Amino acid sequence: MKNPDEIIKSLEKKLESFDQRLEVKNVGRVVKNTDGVIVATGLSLAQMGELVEFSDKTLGTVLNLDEDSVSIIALEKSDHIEEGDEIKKTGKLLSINVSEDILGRVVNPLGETKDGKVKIKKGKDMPLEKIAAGVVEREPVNTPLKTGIKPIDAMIPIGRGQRELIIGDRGTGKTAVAIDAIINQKGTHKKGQKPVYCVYVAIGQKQSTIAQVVEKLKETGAIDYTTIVVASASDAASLLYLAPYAGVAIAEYFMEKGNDVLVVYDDLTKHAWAYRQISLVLRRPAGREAYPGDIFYLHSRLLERAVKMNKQNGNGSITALPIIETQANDLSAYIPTNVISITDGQIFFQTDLFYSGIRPAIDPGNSVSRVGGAAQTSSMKSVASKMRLEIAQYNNLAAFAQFGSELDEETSKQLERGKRTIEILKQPQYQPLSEGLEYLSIYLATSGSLDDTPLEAILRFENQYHEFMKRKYQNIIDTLDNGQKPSEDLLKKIDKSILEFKKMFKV
Amino acid sequence: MDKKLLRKLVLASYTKGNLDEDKVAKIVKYLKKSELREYIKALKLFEMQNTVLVSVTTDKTKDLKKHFEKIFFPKKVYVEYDKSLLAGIKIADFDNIYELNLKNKLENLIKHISE
Ligand SMILES: Nc1ncnc2c1ncn2[C@@H]1O[C@H](COP(=O)(O)OP(=O)(O)OP(=O)(O)O)[C@@H](O)[C@H]1O
Ligand SMILES: [Mg+2]
Repeated sequence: MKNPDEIIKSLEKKLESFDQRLEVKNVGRVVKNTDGVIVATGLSLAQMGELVEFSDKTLGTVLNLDEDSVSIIALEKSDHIEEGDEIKKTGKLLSINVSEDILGRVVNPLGETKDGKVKIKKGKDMPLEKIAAGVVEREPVNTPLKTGIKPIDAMIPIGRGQRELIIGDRGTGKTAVAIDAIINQKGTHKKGQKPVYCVYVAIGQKQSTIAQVVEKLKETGAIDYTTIVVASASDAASLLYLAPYAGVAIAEYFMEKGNDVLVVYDDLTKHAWAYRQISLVLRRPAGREAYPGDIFYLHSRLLERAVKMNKQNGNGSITALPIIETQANDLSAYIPTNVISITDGQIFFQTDLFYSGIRPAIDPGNSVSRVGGAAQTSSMKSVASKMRLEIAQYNNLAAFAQFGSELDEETSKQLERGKRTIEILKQPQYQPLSEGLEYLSIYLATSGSLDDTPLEAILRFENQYHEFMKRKYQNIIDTLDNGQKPSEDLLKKIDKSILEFKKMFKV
Repeated sequence: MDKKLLRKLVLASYTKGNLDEDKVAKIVKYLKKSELREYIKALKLFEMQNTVLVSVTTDKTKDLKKHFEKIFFPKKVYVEYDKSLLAGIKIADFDNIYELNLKNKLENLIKHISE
């Protein structure tokens, strides 16, 4: 709260400046209002992307500048805006108020709170549209962003500052993986770690789905370092269009202070739909699949704002996990190919895998991380490369084995090993693992320790082994969490712990 | 209809700065329905762009009108008496509005306080 003296002083100052100044306003008049897209005359001094105000205080933003008219999209309900209404220029570009206060909150793309609590404290106005950092300010990805999900951290590692696409059909567990990655950042909010703040942008989802996500984040405590930006299915298309830019603007606030941030855009398919709708109403020429010509730029300028800053520029980072929904696993449709080409890799979720019980349903053959390898820890590298080889061999052999011919002992052994490796990569929802535990799980499979355990018992084995290690050998987990390549000595200790556990484990 | 032609038609509808009924009637004869719609829109816009509305708090509007006509030549000027301004003047030149009056000042002050 300001004290009364301050307030009065500020008023007096304002009053003084009122006295002589002639105020010049630039206004316009509404000509047409179609579905929240408003055409107006006047406003000849308005800028692209500028915030404007209608006579009833409804806000809008300028999206088209024509010779003698401008097109504005309303940011709120706009049914009541009529021909002849006055529109005022505000001189401000679209921005969102961000302060530390925004962590743990649910806001809309304009920064208005949606969780029924008090307003966000005044901080900095972050512009929604901004040119991404240039080459000289950046450095290559070099720090891992641990998702806590075994198949991702092992096979498709993500680095801080990377853009990794999550892509797949409806209901294949895309959101689940993104939420788990957010929950897993809890591990970075401990002493001696560089924390990762999170922004989850929900675009065009049902209110009930969003409420579930918020509830889950609260339950796990992840909400403390997370902001949720919501433009739900019932909001105006303009808000859906702005939501991801608001998300990255919030991320930039923390990044500029040298922090690491993770942003999830769930999902950009609905974002593209919203933009298509706006463009069609604006009568912009439609192209392939009726998307406007600049649909590529829509997503490239957003994802270019993911960044890893170098030491001289604060060393902050923004990691982006955009989500795209495919139809019938088709990666070659328009929007998927566009976004695949912008990102540094993709994680592909397969319906078949999902229904055959392999969850997370990641298809390793179609998933890559083009830069994350540089950020993978040496301990993970040491165990993951062997695992990848085994899975590849398994896939080759499995194709032959289908013909039902007699298999020699060596081949059937490899097949069994492969099955177990795939089994160990399964992971239930909301249970991200620390790097140490991930290492131990994969090591169980690749070291052959599970070869004599029946397939059905493997996940139970893994679970109980983790508990056993936490109880008895927490020091081993801690050492592995550090990410250094395990010494011979440590490996021996792990082998011994497995033998010890096996004696107690009942199939 | 292309923009240049439309503009020509609009300019041709005026005699000495006033909309000429005869000329308009002649032009309209040659227009299709859709073109007529565009023409009316263009006329409306042209009228708006070329009109200046001055609001003042004195009723001696005649002298003022001459004065402002000189400033805004060749636009048409209307001067009106508007008590609600309290004191001062407001000039609306299409999309630019110049305010130097008490009402606007008070409104700004209220806005400042409520922020
Ligand atoms: N690893 C997992 N283990 C078990 N169940 C899972 C797992 N991941 C997701 N699920 C379940 O699968 C269902 C779909 O998951 P989710 O909503 O994350 O998919 P989605 O791809 O985001 O779907 P949509 O396209 O509708 O957004 C949910 O009911 C979720 O609980
Ligand atoms: Mg989802």
